[in-house]
Amino acid sequence: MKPRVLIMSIVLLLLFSTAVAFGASKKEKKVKVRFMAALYSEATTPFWNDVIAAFEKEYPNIEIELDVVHWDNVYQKTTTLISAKQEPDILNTDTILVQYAAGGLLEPLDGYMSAEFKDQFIPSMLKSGLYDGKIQALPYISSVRALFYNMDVLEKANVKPPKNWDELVRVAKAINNPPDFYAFGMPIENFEGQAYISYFLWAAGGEWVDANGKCIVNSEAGLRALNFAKDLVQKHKVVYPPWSTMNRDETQKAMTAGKVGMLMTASFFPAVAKADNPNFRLGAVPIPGDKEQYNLGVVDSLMIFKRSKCKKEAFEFLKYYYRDQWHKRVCLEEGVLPVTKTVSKSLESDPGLGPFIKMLPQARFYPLHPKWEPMVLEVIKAWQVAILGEKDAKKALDDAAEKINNEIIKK
Amino acid sequence: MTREQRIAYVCILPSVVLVTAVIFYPVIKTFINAFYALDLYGNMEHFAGFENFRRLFKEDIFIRVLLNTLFWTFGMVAVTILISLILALVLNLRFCGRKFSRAVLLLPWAASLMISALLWRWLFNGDYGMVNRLLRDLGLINHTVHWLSTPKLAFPSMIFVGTIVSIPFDTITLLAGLQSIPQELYEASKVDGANKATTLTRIVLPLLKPVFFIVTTLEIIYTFNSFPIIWIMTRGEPANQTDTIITYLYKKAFLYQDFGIASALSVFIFLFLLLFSVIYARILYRE
Repeated sequence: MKPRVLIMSIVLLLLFSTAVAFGASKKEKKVKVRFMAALYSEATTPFWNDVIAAFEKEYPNIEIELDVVHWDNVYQKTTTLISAKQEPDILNTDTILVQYAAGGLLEPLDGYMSAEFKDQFIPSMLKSGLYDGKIQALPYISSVRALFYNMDVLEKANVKPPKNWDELVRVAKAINNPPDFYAFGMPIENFEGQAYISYFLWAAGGEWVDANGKCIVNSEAGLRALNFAKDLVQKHKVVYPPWSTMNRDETQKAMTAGKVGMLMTASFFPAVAKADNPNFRLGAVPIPGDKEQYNLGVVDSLMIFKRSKCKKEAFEFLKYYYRDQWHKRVCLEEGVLPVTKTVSKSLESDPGLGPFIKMLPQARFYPLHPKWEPMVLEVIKAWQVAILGEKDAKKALDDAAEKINNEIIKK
Repeated sequence: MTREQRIAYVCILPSVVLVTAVIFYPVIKTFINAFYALDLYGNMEHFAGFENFRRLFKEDIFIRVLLNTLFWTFGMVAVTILISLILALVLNLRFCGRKFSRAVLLLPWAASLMISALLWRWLFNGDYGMVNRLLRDLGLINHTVHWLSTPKLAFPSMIFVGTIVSIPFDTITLLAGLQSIPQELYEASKVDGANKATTLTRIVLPLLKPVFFIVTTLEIIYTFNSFPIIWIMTRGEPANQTDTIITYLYKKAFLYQDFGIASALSVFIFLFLLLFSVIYARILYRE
């Protein structure tokens, strides 16, 4: 008797659940667009929720399913989803887009854009999504990098913020007071070591890759850049010691807590610093140069996957985001820089963002390389072992370049 | 087959399906993947023979990571087991407040491993951490020590944390083993004039051997495979100097997106642990 009861109840349960599913699918006619966004700050989720609510009101047949993912996990989650062919329809992320574009995973957006829509972007920003002659992603927001300094400390030591490498060393030595206070933060670790390497590499006149896509970080300029960073740590001893493990955000916190005097970081740092310590006086100057003077610009992107079944609807949502009202709000709330001409113009006089918007035209961007992510990790490792003194600097760079060119790029 | 057997089979069917799907299938798939060239998302491209293994053993950091893993595993297990054994022997004595002590001992175990690791990351922070503060107040150090940024200190610090969180389980299990030793044996040895040391070496430890074996094997496998402490406290950095084979595996798969090497490494770990368990069991049960 008992097994029969069991089987009957299972059958009933199955019937019931299919009935529920049917009921649900009948009622629902909306197109569902899955959107995975990166978490920039506490403002991110409320911002997207507001955009989505307004969008869904205007487009009642489209439903946006939002998934906000911490930056630490964005790559891992996307990789896992792609391997299971479950990737979202829209993704908001950074330079990794080149890898997806090279793998043919992204939907080229040229065909979706009207001339007028295309024209609203600052041209260099739109170019950041260009790969293989097609627009593979749209710029979401941008930032530039600058050298930030603790105004009180520099004033007390009676020094001016540095403009070049020599001055950087001199100022750093003047304000250094270990072990409680270090002059310079230089987080060269996996989170964003590539930025710090770029500051030095480009200033020394070096490049990440040559015209053929070959990695050339072991050039003479590359070695000079690494030796300069190494001297800051080993010889001048002005670098905040956890440079190899503490990431950019944690080092920013150390700076606002008065442990670090100068730090090269993104234009959104003032907004973060203000939240951490309202009385902190933060100054900013362009990144000190040496042979060359460059500024690093970073553009984060929005992209639509090729396998998406609702690309048209997804694009409607992207279009909606670029309305001045939303794009401006995200710039102000996250402290990031705009990518459209109108918002850029309207924010030029903003006391917080204005100075950085003016720095944008000199900004250089990371090279668009399909193996950028693994390349960067190898180079960061090479810099770390060299600065730690585990390996000769020249050898570390040569080994890394060899591995990148012969194994990573070829594979 | 009787009716009862049939019902039994039907009843275990869901578990069999579940275990096959979530344990056996991934293991077998990983073994197959290890011999294939895989794309950036882990999809098979073509058969590659031992290419993934060749690339793995050619990695300049591989030996270093392997040595780190052995240091991490055996260093931590040795310290943990020794402390746990002493604690278990003490807690097996009759004294006032024994129940309370046992309850307190279990507390660290109740906290999630992630939370413990995060807390310790802050405690070991060079600038604000309580560890530096305590050592400074005690006059043991006179400058800031950046525990987790110095490779030579990071590993011992993490082993310390690992030990703290593993002690409760090991102690409780060993204590259970101690309590299963019949009281008569103690009495008999007392009658025969054995002193405390002889009782310990001749009665207690030999009878504790099976439990001791289980605890050590489990602890070695757990520690070898342990991920959260290292990932949260140092992420294996700087420059892979505090990576163990497990964090390295994760990086290879999800940071470098090199699923070929990652699969080869998984197979290596599987075989290594299997071999270890077999040898260990042989040695212990030789008699």
